[in-house]
Amino acid sequence: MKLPVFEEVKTSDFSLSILMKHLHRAGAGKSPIYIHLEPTDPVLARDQADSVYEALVGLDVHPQLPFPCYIITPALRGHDYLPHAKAEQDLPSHFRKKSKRLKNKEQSLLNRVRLVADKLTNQDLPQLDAIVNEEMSEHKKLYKVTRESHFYELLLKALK
Amino acid sequence: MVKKVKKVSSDKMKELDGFEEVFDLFEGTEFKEGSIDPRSGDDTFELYNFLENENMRLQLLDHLYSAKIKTLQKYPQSEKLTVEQHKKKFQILSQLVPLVSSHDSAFNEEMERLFNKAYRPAPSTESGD
Repeated sequence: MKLPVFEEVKTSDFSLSILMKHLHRAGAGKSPIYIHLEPTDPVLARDQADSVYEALVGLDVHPQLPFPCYIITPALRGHDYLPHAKAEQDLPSHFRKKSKRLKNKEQSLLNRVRLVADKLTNQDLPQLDAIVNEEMSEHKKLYKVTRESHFYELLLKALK
Repeated sequence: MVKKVKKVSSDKMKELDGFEEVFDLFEGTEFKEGSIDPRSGDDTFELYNFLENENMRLQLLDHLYSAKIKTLQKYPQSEKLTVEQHKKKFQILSQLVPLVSSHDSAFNEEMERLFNKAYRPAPSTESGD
């Protein structure tokens, strides 16, 4: 059983089947991974990022849970679904650890990590994400109305 | 008495050259050159700490997705709160609008002052006949 530390996916071919093979081999969904996108043109970089997302969907892997799949490119400001970093140094240091032979205690802890990760993966994450997004938009509406009514309330107090 | 053998790397051993007599003072410990077990001195618990943090992170995520979001789905509140806030807003507006729109309201007086200041008739240059 591998430690959940960063694994790089190296590929120059971004066709769906090849990408799926590489992502599966790197352990997408079982450990955090990152992939460099070479194009400097934002349109091409976005196309490649979309291909990575499609490949993850094909593998039935959530792009962020339980372990993230980062795309690294300075050409994009971000992506709708995939976590993004401009350079490899910007990746979270939490997952940047050297893999070592584990002691017994560490091994049993890793087993527990795997168990919780599997529990998380077994849930219907896309459906739960949809609920979260819906709730987020409701919260934005609520914030807007609350701010407006608070402003009117202050105005009324000042005028009275 | 069993002597405790302490293995020291070759670089360290070179640094300790000339101190062999001092070693004899450490009874029960013998210094020997040899490779050090990579895990023997690793007591920083770096991996253990990382795995504990990772376990905690995943448990919190699991709790969010398995308990909190499902409760939110069963008992949504935001929509009702938004409706309530809309009602409150219209209630405040129903008090505020008559106050602002009355002829002698502070708002209208201020608007009048600004209007007069901005659109003041230009002073006539012609001398009266």
